[in-house]
Amino acid sequence: MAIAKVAQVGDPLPNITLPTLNGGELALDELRGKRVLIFFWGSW
Amino acid sequence: MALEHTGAEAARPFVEKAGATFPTVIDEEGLTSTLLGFKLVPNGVLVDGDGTIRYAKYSGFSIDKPDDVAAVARFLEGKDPGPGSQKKAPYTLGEAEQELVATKLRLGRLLDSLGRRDEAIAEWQAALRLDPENLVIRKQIWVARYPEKFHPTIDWDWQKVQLEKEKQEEVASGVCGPDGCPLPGYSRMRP
Repeated sequence: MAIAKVAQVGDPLPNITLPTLNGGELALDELRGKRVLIFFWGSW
Repeated sequence: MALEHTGAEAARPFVEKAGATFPTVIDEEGLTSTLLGFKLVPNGVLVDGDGTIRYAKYSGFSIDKPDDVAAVARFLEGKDPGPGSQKKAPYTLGEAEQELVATKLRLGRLLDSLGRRDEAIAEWQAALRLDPENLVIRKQIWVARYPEKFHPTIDWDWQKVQLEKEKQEEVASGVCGPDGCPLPGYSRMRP
């Protein structure tokens, strides 16, 4: 059985496109060119 | 990046209260949890200019913690941010199971957005049975089933009691073993 691939430190950030709170969209690849902090949180 | 399986609007009051000047992206299907392998938030991930992940701290990352702020500051200066921490779940999902979890989360989100919450919860519960240590999924089910425990304030004591209760039920029903989830050999591979 193949193990699901999970991105680790040293791997490229998976390029997914997600909605933004203000009604737009952001592809994670658009963040390229600068160092970024992505903070993951939830309202719960 | 807010993980909100019951819809983006849940995040808005927090973003407005914080006066956030950076973009807020909404993950309504737990995609990032699947792709990065985390089971809980809050998390901090540092990514360099060519898109490479340089640091990840899963669970307990906070801009109120001096160590976390120092890691970000080192990174912005072009230095090594440090090791971070990526807690490992006691199991690794197989590719097919991971795909099934992702599909069930997507279907749950779709059903919930159509107002079919009971059916959405059933899909989320099916996903949780496949990935029982995933607290992102577990808490989304709580938000949907017990909204009064989250609004107007979050009842953290209730969460502790509820988690213990559900874990005991899962042991009793055979989803989990007494030492955690899932049972060895329950169609999963241990790392």
